[in-house]
Amino acid sequence: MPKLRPKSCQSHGVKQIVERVLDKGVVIDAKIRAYLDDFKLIELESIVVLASFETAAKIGLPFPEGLNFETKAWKELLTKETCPQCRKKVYEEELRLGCPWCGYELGG
Amino acid sequence: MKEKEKLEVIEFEDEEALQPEKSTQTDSTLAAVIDRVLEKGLVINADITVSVADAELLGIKIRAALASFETAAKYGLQFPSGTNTETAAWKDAMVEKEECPNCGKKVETEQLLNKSCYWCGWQSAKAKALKKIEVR
Repeated sequence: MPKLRPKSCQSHGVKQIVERVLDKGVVIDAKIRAYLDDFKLIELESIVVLASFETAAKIGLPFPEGLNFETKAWKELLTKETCPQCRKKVYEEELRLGCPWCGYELGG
Repeated sequence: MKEKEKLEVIEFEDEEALQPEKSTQTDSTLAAVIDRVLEKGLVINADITVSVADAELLGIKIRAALASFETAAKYGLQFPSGTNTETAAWKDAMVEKEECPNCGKKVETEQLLNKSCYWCGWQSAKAKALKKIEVR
């Protein structure tokens, strides 16, 4: 009998949480004002966005200058879908015919 | 008969020994998290202004991307001037690779999807379908 091994994908570890957070993206919009007797002393305005490459590309965040957007990886990033079963990236037309990785079929 | 049984047992043991163990325990350790984040890449954008008594004193704009060498190369991030991109490691990084779902090793997508994982022998649904057609 083959040994039974625990399934890694069932645990909601830190890895899953971090991955999810970055895939969703994080926006921190904060304004901090320090007053001294109605006199505005210091004002701090900050907008910080944290996201994975994929999410950043989808929502159009600016990337550092000099980046080459013509690479294959960029094109795939915006056209591929995630297989619901094995989480691999697959072209949508291919996924409709059944995931080439795990054989998952949509709606069945 | 006895000999055959013995042979079978040995075969099974060999198969077991050849299976690279997937790191199930270390799935949520810090190393695994960093690994994943660097592989996916991280974009940090920030606009910060500091004003003192209604006068804008300091403004900071950050456009940063954080990624592993491999991911950076794949997405065409700029490298510091003087980086030699002609080395074997660079060429290796530019080849499209995917993680084997069974053993977690990085294997060329072509090989993994159309044939099998050469580390553990795992076959994708597509490879199995191709094999069936071949047999017919």
